[in-house]
Amino acid sequence: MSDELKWVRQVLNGDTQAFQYIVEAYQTPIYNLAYRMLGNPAEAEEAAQETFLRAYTWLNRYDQKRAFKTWLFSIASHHCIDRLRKRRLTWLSLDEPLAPHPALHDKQPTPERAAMLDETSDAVQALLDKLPPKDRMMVILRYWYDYSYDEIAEHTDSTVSAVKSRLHRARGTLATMMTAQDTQQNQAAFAETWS
Amino acid sequence: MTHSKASLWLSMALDDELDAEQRAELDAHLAAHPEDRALSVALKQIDDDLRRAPIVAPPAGFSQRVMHLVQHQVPRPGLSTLLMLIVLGSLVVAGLIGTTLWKLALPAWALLQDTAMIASLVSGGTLVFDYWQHLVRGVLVTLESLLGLVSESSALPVALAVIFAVVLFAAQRWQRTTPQEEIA
Repeated sequence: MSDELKWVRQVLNGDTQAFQYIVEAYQTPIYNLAYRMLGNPAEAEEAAQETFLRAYTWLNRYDQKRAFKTWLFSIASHHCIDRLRKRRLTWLSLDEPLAPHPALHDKQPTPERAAMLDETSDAVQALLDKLPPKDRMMVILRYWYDYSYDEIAEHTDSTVSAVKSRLHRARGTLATMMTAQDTQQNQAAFAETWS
Repeated sequence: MTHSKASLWLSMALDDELDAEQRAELDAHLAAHPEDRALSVALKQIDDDLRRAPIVAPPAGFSQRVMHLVQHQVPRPGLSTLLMLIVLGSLVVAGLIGTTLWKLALPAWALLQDTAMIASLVSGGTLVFDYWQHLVRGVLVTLESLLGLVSESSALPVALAVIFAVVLFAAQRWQRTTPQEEIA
């Protein structure tokens, strides 16, 4: 029996403290998923907390024949997509870039390398934030969690051909946005040089 | 090979989903089509950037905060309790609507003045359905006279379907209500 299944059964038998092992085992992947989906550290923390609370509340509905990770990720991704839907209904402008996560600035070895990686990470997150929620989810599952097409299809209730098509569309959009950004930056640099 | 097929294959190539033959076909296409070659470079660039982006860890103390919330969760009533509350709430609201219609002597008044309806409202039990039937018909007849949209014969099934859908929707929303919202 896997550790997580043992913890799940302990929680179901009334040992609330055993849930802490589950939280500690999955806090980083769940938080990262929420951060990559929502693009904002504070909201990502709320969403990750909510994911664990729902998992705890609904633990008796978990089918122990299936992978716990898949179940937990499914809760997290549905919750994040719900949040993005609600966000679209607010008056906040989505054009304003959200602040990058502080942790992205903490763990870099040298200042030059840090600057380069920070820039790349921030740029990737800014582009990711512009994708439609479902496309974004597929890109995240593919790149940060190395999910196969089959796994993404199962996770998102879609077909393998839909996954291929959405990933293709998402990459195309990201590449177009990145190329446009590069062109703008080059034009700005050129203008600065000759001004 | 068309541009759209080449574009799809470029994406699949990034996931190692092309066999050797497809790969060779794609390479041959790229050699002859500079615009798709440019797309290939852009896709590779975004692929590299995504692969380099780090996994972000939660702030310190995250698991303690979650456990605090878990241990202070407020147990919520079950679905059956909720449904009962919805039905009771609907009865009260319906009673108020019925009384208002009666007081204002709107077109539904002839149905609402039925004493059986009033008795059922007071006594409950088997006459509750009768009350509902009269009330819903009364409300819909009024709506019909106001809007001219619903015929009297189809009004009752439509109304029951609408009420059923509303109760179902409310129950689903309840199931999706977050425990954290309840704590707040």
